Amino acid sequence: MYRLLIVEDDPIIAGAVADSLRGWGYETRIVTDFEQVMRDFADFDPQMVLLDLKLPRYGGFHWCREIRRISTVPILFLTSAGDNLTAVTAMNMGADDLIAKPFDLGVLAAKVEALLRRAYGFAPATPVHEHRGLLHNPAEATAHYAGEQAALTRNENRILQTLMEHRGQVVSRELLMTRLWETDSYIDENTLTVNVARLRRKLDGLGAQDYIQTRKGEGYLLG
Amino acid sequence: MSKQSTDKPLFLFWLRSRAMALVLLLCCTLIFALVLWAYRVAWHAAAYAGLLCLLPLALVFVVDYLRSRARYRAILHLEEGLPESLTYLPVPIEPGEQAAGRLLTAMEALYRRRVTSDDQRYRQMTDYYTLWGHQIKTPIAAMRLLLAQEDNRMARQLSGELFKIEQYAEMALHYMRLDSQASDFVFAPCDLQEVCARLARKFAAMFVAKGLSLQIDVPKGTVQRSDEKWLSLALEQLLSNAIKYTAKGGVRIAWAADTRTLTVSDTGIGISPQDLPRVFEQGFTGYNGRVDRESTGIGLFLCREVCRRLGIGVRLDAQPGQGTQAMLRFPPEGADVE
Repeated sequence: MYRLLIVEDDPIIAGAVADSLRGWGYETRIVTDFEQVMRDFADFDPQMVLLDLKLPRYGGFHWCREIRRISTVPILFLTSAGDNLTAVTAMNMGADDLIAKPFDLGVLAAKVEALLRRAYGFAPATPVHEHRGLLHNPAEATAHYAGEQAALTRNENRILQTLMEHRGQVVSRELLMTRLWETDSYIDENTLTVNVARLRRKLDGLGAQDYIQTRKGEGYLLG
Repeated sequence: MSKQSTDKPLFLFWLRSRAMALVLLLCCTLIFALVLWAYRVAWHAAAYAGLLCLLPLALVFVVDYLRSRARYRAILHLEEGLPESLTYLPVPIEPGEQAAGRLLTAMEALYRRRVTSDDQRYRQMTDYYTLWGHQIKTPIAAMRLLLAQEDNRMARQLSGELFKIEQYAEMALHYMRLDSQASDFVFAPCDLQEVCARLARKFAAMFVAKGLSLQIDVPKGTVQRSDEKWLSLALEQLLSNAIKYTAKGGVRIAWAADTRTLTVSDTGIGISPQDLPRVFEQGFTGYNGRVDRESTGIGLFLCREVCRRLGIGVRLDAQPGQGTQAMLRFPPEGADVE
């Protein structure tokens, strides 16, 4: 499991980032003492650092320099300044990439994964979701149930992934559509209905009956 | 200014300024004529003396006029190099000139002080608003992450409003960066398809919330030399307007390779013909703006300013009720831009 050190002074952002990355299968630690970032760094020995640019007392650039003195771990800057100048400065300081606030957690996870793959040669295994005996492997776009396997289309894969991430909650059609749009699939309401129906049939075929339930006017729920 | 138009009034003006001397001359001539007549001097002797006097007099007047004209032109010429040229004011001859010169120097000092303090105030203000723009992004980021944990109508609506706040902050930052740092423009090959796809991801929730369709007809590998961040910002204004002013139907982004034009078309309310020529003006909102109170007349202004710096031609075609087509025409390969 990869260890990620989060150096971000806004507790809500740090917490949400840590929660989300833990969901993707990473171990995280949030730095709380911004005078002693290097102590946490030495103690936790992370494989990657997520570093805010604006920190109390010393800025992110300072800690980037300090880390670079002793380590080559990938450093991802979180910054509210998205201009070219900041990006160039960050890269010169030894940062590997930069993500502008406000960012999307999905985009952040993708960047983290890309950086880890670049630095360590292989990507962390995307967690396989399990719910009521059904295994979903989003990286391979497959669903497994009782020894049977079904290949999913891109849209079906994304729909099932979103439902899996919200197990036990009703997922609105708007959220599903937005997620699909975010993967460059500009579908309309009808297409979503068709996609969900197809996915349902596939899961039925595997033997997972009534796996996706419909809540009228609300959305879908994993049964 | 042509010489003809300055010379004639100048001559009259000069004549008036020498009126006293001329009147004096006339008086002297009359007195001489009267006295010489009273003494029965031969008229041709008097005329001869008069003629001889006229010669130096005319010479003096002509020289005086020419000098006066040269001075006038020299001072007029200084106007082009203001305020630095004030040091080249001709040496005053009359007391009035001296006083006017002193007044000008005082004005200049006043002006310089004003400019310095204005510059300083402007810099302080932009520094502060830039800082504010960055400050506001942290709470926006935090709120966005909090809202992402909820999936209900309220959270979606709040996310939508938050998205607008984010856009406005982003626009303000870019507005200030526009003339403060020309060096922030970095030209590199941009994949237009990727730029459009990224914007579509950004606006995904807006499209879904309004139930609009999107079609991107930009072939893979469409590459143009531009600054990706600024280009995205310009395109974002067009896309955001397209969504804002379209209730039914959708938006299409298409690339025409032969004219190097990227077109954002929508099926929205369009723009009235009398508003169309003015939509790129700063602060212009027009009819659509009066209907939609969120319009501030900044978006398209920003778009045009950014495009100007990128060497991109921007144009809108629209008819009320028939939708709007916004076109970005890219500069030819190898063209010189900023």
